[in-house]
Amino acid sequence: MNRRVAIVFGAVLAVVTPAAAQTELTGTYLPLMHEDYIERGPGSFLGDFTGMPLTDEGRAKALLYTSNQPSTYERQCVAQSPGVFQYRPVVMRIWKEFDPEGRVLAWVIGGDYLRGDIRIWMDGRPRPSVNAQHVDGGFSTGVWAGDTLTVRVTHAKTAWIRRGVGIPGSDFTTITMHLTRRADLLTITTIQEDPYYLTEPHVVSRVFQLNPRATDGTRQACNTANEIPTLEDTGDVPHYFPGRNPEEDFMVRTFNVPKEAAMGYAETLYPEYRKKLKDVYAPPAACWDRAPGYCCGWIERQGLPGGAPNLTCNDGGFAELGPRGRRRATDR
Amino acid sequence: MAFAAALGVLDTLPYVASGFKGTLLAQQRPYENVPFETIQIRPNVYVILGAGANITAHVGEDGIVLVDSGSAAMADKALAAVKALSNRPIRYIINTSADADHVGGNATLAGAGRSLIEDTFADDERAAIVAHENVLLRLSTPPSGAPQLPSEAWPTETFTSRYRSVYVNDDAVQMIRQPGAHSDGDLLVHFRRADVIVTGDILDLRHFPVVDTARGGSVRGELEALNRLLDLTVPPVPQVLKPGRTLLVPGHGRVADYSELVEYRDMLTIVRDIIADMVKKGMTLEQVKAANPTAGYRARWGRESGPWTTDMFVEAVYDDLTKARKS
Repeated sequence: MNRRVAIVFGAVLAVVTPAAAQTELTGTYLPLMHEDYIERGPGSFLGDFTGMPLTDEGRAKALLYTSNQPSTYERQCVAQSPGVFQYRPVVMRIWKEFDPEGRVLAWVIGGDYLRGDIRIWMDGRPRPSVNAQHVDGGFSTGVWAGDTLTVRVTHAKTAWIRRGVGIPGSDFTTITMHLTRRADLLTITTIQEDPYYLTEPHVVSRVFQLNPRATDGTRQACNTANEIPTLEDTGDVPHYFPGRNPEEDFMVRTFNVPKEAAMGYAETLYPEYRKKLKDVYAPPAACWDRAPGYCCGWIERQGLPGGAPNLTCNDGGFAELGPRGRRRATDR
Repeated sequence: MAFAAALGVLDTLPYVASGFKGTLLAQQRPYENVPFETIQIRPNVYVILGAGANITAHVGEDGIVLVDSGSAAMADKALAAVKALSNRPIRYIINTSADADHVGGNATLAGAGRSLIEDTFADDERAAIVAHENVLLRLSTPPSGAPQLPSEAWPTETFTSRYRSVYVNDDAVQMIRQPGAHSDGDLLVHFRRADVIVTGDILDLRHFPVVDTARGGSVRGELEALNRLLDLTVPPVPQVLKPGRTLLVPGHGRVADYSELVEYRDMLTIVRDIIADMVKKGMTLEQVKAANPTAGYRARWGRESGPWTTDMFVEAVYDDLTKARKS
């Protein structure tokens, strides 16, 4: 009897579960902004390369960067890295496309006008040759491993991994993505490798929430305007000079973060580095007095609708130390 | 490993960094030894890669227009690839410079073609070879000791003006002279209906731009050429998610577009600015080289050996800037 039940149960499963297990990913997802709020919301602090295993070349290129670069006429609408959705505070839309036989031909991660659509081919097509054109969203293939869709992206273009501070990615970067949906939550882990700019893989894991009421993120237009009139038709490119980037020491001055951590050395990614700092790190007094235990986050909308929940630290000493002149919470 | 194979990882070794730690093995350099293949980029435009410099083929009812002819060693293979595209005759070969890897296949490919304009003085029919006048001068009077290409490989139609235009295959084809950039014979070739621009070595996705100062090239001219190319190249604005855009066929490397041109132009501009700053401080060439002015770009675009090293590039920029200061 038990055996018969098992057989029937198995037969039912065989009918309802595709040969390669998979999950429905279609939908519009919102980023959960309390995760890495600073990066996804207001953006990185100046000169903040923490968490990035940069090569010397990557660090050097990032230090040539000024935020005027993406403001240049030529770069305003240039697509960012395929993996930038891990940092962008915008809606992400996922849909699938079918072949004439009704089989899933591709999953598409779209919905962002500053990131090329990531079209994940599921039909086993070969990867293009090294001669093939690189495209904004890269070339992607996917396979299901249980309920996780694993994707590999190649043929991307040179693009900032984090535009706010100019963390570079090359045109030979590769990204492995794992997409796992549980109920309304979609976890995406990206593992980015770069032969020129990263000493080891850059791993980010973020959660997105299905939201049927969200605007679907279908905006597809980007327009250019002359934001820096003095550059018009000059051919000039804004940049800092080596050793003269005024933002290089910002994290040190503001948060007492050791420079090697701020500048993105791989060692600082690991728990052992926290142990190394444990007895030598001193938080800046202005911040520590106001928010013991949680130091110096730039919580832009603290206490206001849309603000990150349960974070009480406010200006991080900007009023005294930073160039933006933000007011203390007590002054409001 | 099985998973890697399933994802096609193994056929993308150039994209995979092994050994990491910030170094890239020489054999992983992009575009050093690319496979020979033909890639279609527009309904009637193809690029043959791996035959020396890139060869662009524009195909239509009038015949085939080629831009560059690759190296002499690959000429037969290139001819077979061209014949596979169309049974129409090759009408034109347009040379973007006098470099051997751009003109080496001229004799073989032109010999297999037939010009649209009958040459009543010629013994046999051949495709016309069009280039700037300086290309003919370079090929017909090579430096002492250098090999000379046979006269069948020399341009048959040359010009000295800023533009030369023809209307072929229902397309406006403009040859745009870009003086003193990569060399003194550079052309950009713009297929206006197809919206493809063949850049020659003004854009070279393998490494820092080659500025052949011995043959009239200059960094200033190279930058002017890149900025002019930016003016001619239309990005996918405002509909950024659509594929429509001007395509660029570089002298070497994959087909590119506006954003990759911007990156290349910005790279050269920034490195030029950094070296200019050092020159202004009175640094010697050796001091400039020691200061590594290409840091941030050297790993991707630099070479430590071969025909165009980072040191040679830095020297070309330095010379250009110091000449400008003296003049």
